[in-house]
Amino acid sequence: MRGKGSQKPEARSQNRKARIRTSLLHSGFRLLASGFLLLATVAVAYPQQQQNFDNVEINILPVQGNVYMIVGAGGNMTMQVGDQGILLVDTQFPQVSSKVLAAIRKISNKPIRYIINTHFHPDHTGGNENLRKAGSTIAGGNFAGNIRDAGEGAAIVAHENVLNRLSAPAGGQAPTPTGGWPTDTYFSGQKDIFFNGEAVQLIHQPAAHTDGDSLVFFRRSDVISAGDIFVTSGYPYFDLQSGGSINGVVDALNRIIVLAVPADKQEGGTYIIPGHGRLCDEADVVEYRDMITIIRDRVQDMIKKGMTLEQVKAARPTRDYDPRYGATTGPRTTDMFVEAVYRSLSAKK
Amino acid sequence: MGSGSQKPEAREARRASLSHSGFWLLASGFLLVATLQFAYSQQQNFDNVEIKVLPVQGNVYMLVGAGGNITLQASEQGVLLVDTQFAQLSDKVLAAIRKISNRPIRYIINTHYHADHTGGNEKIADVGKTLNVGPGANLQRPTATIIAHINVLNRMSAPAGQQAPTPSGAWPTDTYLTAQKELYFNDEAIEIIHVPAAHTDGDSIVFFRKSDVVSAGDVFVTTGYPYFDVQAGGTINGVIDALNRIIHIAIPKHEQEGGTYIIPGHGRLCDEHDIVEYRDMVTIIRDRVQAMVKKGMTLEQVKAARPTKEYDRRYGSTTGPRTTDTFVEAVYNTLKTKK
Repeated sequence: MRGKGSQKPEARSQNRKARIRTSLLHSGFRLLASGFLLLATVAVAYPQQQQNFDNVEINILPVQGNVYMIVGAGGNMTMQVGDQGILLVDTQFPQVSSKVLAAIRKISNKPIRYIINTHFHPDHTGGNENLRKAGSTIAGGNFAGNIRDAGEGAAIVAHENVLNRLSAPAGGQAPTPTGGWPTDTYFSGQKDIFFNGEAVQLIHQPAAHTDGDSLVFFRRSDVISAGDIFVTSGYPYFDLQSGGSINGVVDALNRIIVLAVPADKQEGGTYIIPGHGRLCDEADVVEYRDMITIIRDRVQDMIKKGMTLEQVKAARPTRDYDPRYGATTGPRTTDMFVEAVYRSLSAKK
Repeated sequence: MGSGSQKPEAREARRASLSHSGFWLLASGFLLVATLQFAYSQQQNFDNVEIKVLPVQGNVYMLVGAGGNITLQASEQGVLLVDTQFAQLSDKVLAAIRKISNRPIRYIINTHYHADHTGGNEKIADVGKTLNVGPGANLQRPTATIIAHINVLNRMSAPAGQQAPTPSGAWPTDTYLTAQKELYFNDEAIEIIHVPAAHTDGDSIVFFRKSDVVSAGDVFVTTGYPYFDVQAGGTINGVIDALNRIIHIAIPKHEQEGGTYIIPGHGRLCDEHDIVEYRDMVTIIRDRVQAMVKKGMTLEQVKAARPTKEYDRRYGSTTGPRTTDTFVEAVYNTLKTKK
């Protein structure tokens, strides 16, 4: 019944090793994580092609089960490793691809089989092409026989809208090179992959950070890779121009909370890897969801009262959260967040 | 994050994969046994019943004896059981559990209230020990926590002053009435999912996320046509919804059998493809009967038209308490009353 046990022993010992390593590292982990918070905050400002990547260091944190978190420049990457190879969620910027690869090779020498994109932004998809080339797709049977390069490069899996935004209609100039485009898209609510002895669910969250967001749920390892729906480094940023909305972000956070099961009377249980920032468990997401919901409701109220954007900004609906999440400089200020919430809510009706 | 002390289970799991080759043979044997048990009459003689332990995947085992299949999850925090078979078998069930783990029994989850799934509740809970020591804990009787949908409690107990059908020691001690209840036990997230108006009005399916096993209860049986207890709020459409829910959860292994395993209420261990086949069968028969109801056919005419015809060889029965005729009748009646 289950494939003659061929992948059993290795997968399991690897698993156990990873788990031990995890628990060893875990004591120093929170400390490290808070350090990365800083790094990630800087990285959230991604439109900076001028950014200097020379000093970026790629750090790999064992999370739980087969899953690791890769922190460098741009969005956090998630890596799942096992006997069948490597699965990556997001790829950071192209400039750091060789460093990312070197870091991956410290954990596993197996081929990269899958790349999943949580959304299309370049700080999450920039390395697609480079990392894809370093991998190979699992392909076989008639298909591979007919098409010689069927197995060439890792499969890139994403929601269909990611492909739409990375590519362009025939004749138009695509914003990104074809080599970085998703090779396998879905447009239903969910896509399943069974890889490395683990069920992996891609869950589409409509109109959240963008219109093509996926959460990635590693069921056996019990880890969720959230993409930019959830960031610990600031207020949520949702890309209104790309179909994002504040209510979609709240829905998506609630979806994560439904999936997450906390350990009994302690931290841990399901771990959540945010798009930017430090590793979290359910309680962290709950806090964040509450914060956003409260601000959303305040702004909603002000809109109902007929207040203008200027008046809303002046009323400071985010006030009590500003010391933790606010920013007055950089590409994502508190004012921009309030404005986006305002526009998203007033466009709604 | 569980300090690596769960090594013994890994060993057990390996044993599981070793014994796996002979597994299907065994399983098909149990099919027969289980078919007999499906008739869960109280006159049944339990002396010769043997409890078999089948390792499934991860920390999860399947216990097959008389009555509904028991699912067992065990590791360092203790033992969790889904369903408890008949009361007469509890000693044997306990002996079988001790072959896997000597840790205390912490939780019993009931998939529904029927006696072939809850009969052993009292005896088995009594040897267990709850993890709940906080406020509200019953320190006089710190037995294993029995979790179920609230309708299970309603059907096992009775309003004050009336005679309850089962002893209070067998009743659920922790019920839920939302769509889902979560548990984190033995380093594993466990989802208890209510599927409304299916086999009864209090069905739960239990999903062991890390082990990747679903314990289905009687919304899924491989031993015959689905039985849904119309008097206890069961419906054919609820059964189909429940089967679809399981299919939604299950993820098959890439191009081979396996992946998520499903433990049925009665019968053999399954993966997603088995349950898809079963769902298709139930849906096809439902649609046929629905069409006949729409045409205005009477129950006798529907029975005579044999809407289950080509499936009878695999699932049908003309004797015992669950005949094909009673199934067709139940489908007919729920569809007829629906509108």
